[in-house]
Amino acid sequence: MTDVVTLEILDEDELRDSFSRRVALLIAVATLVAAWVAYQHAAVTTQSSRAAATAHALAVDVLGATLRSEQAAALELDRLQAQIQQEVNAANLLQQWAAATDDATAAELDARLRVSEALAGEVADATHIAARDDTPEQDPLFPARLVARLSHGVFEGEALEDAAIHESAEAGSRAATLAGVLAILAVSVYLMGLSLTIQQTTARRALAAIGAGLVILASGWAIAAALAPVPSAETDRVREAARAYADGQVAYQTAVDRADYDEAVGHFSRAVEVRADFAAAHDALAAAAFAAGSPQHSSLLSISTPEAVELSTRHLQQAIDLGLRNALNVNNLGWHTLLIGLESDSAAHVRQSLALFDEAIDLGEEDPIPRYNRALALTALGRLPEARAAYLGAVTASTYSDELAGALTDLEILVRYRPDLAPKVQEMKDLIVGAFWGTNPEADPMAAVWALDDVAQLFPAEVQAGIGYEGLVPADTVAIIWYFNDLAQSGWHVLPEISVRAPTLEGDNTHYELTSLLENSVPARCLEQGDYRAEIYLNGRMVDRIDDSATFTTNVPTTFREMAIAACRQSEWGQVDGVLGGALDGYSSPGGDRGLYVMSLQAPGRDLGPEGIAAAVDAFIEAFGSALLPALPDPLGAPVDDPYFLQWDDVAVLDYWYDGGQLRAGAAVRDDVLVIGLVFGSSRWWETDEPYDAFESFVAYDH
Amino acid sequence: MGDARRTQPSRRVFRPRRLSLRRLARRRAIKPPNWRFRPAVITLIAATSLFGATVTWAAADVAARASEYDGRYVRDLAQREQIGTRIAAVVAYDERLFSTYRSHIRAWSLLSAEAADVETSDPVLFERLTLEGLGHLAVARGMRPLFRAQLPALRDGSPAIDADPAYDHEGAVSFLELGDPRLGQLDPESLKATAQGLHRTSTELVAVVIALVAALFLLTLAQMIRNRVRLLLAALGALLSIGGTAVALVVWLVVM
Repeated sequence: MTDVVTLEILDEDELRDSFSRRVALLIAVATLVAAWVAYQHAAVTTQSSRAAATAHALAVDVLGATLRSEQAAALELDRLQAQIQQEVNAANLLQQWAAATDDATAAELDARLRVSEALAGEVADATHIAARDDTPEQDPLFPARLVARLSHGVFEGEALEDAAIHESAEAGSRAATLAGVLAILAVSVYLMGLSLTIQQTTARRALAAIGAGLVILASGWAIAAALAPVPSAETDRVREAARAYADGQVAYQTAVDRADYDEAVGHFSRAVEVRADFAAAHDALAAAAFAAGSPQHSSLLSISTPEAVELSTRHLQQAIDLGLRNALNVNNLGWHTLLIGLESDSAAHVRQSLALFDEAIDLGEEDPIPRYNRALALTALGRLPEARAAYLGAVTASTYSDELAGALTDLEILVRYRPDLAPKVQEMKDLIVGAFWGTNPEADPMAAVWALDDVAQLFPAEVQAGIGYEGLVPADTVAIIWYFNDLAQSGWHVLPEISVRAPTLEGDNTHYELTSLLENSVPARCLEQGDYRAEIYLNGRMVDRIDDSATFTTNVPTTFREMAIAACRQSEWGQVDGVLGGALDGYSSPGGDRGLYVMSLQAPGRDLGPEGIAAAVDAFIEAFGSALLPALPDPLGAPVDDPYFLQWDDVAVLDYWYDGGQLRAGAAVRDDVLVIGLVFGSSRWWETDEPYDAFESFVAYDH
Repeated sequence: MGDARRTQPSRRVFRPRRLSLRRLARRRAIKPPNWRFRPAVITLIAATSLFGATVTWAAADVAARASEYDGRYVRDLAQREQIGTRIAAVVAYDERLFSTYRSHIRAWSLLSAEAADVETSDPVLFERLTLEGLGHLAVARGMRPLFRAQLPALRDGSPAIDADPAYDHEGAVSFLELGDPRLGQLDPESLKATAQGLHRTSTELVAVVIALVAALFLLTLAQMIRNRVRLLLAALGALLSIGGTAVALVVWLVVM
């Protein structure tokens, strides 16, 4: 306990020599560099904080802009609602006035009609929607155009916010680098200082050399940082990229055809050209490019052109590299990789896609899409037991028929590239159709379902499959899956809007499953030209298949919502003048020599029957024919055989002739309203299929 | 064994500072330097210094990443709020529209019922009431395209018009949420958790840096003194240095 510990410092004279002076000089240099680096560090830290504050302020602005755009949209829609109300009121009053039985009532209705028409005009003047192309009639996705146009500032704000966040992160990262440089300089100073205390030559030289090396390294790093400053988010180029991104979003969110998607691709391309590190723009460009090359209209796209897939993949990868590594993007990248793998017959790509789908499943929790894709990749790799299990798991997680349609389309793509897998693919199709729509485990083995005709029945707005059946019990499930392949033969894909489970069928009989594409699709659309195919499934097993081709030229959807009617027209036809909201509307060719009209007349409590309806149509043609048609037709129409109109009972379909032309009118009563649809045109035109196609395109439309 | 260029002693007598607690303790004899010990300590010092610099850089890098995640968390949160605000506004508009829509449908229904009561007794009134009711029905139909989140069922699965339509608020919100592709990708909670984890890692790395600095302090002392306590100091320093470096590696690997 008496031992005392003492620490003895080396003698002062041991520390002084020429080496010390050189080291002291190096220490001074290191200190100078450290001061410079500290200045840079302070500058980028300030830049990071300022950019973060800007980003937060922009986030608040964007939130406010969102609210303002929604309020503006609500105001516009309120005005449109008022306009619709006044127009419909005016049309109703007109009909009541026409039906008035005494002068006093007629005078009262006449006065109210004038008021209503005046109000309708005033409201129409105040409505900005009508002055643009975003009315319900002109915007297939109404009110998408209106809302997207009003949201332009929101998209622009989001882009600026993204740039500010990016700047903040970059500056923060730079600050971290510079902090590391400062640490290195501190170490170098320490080592050089320590070298002064060492007597052994080699050791102290080594320490000084390490210190000097670190000073050089740190100086180089600091110079590199100074030569490449973190770009500011508050520049004209960033603002230009934000505007291009906003333009792209407006175009993308209102897109209904390839030209619209191409426009969006152009805007997004400009955005990433101006600002290469704009992850959201790369992401949006990838989505728009794929959609621009796709013949599909559903929410889940599988098919696109090779060029579009290449462009989309490139930008998707960039978006992921820039930080947007989420379930959706990883799944999409996996899908692109799988497509490339199938096209180039590369098992490596397919395996790579499988890994990406696995990652997407981990990231996306319950999303069934990557599960379906994983099952497809397993099928492509020939790992069928795993594929079966994966498909069953995907169907369990599936809710919407769109997802089933997407899975069946994907299997069609697989067969396209791997015809040798056709039997296995059909096995997988049976599996997922049965799992999704159910099967009857106790089905009679003798139960049968078959197509009644060799070809599918196609109309401009509808498709029909006739099936015969025998030995069915209510628990049996019959499903009809419709496929389409466009004129460019882009690939067969399922049309989820018209692929249905048939109603319960029992015993032996026939059934015609008529489904309206026009009524069930959003945005509404008519049958495009191309090949159609229907697969008929009984209890999850394909039992028959029918095909046909559509060549309709009357394939532009036209909706008359107030009258609950829709039809398909020719692309060059425009809306006629003198539309009466909820009572009369129509479209005609530029010369007015052909077109279609829809009329809605209130017929309270009138059980007219086919003869009464025909008489009402005669009266209508006589009263309005000269105003609506190129010439006044003969007053009495000729009933057509086997009349069919809007799937309704008690209908009348009549042909009329006028000088140089003909018209066909169909009429029926529903909800106390007499609805008349007519198609007119020159006699030569009636020698083609087009007027008949136009007439057959009338469908009930309750959307 | 001394340095060949050793300078002459100063004329000023340098008296070793006594760090002893006992002023009268016996002074120990100065031992010759142990040059196998000193190079080892110097090497350890150099290595610890480099590790310390590297770990400091790593701590700063992780802190920067944590800040980046903080920013993304705020952005995702703001975007989610923004989408939620938009959805709430859309559904609120729909519900406001629905109350008007429903009043027209109800008016049509009630006027039709009133008309039915007088159909045989007063055909003129019957026709006027029915026409007025149909006017309301036409207005209601005209309003249908204006619904943005949920279109009320017009026929409710039957040919007859649903005279008492309902609006499913929750269903409308769910529909809009499912229909927004961005919403499913926003996960601010996960980003926040990641940021917190990175902040914690950064703090742990700074603690390691402190340990390495302490190791440097001990190793420096061991290098400076000549008596046998230097062995203890060097051992402690080496332990701290190796332990700190190992912990830093583990933490870094976990982060990576």
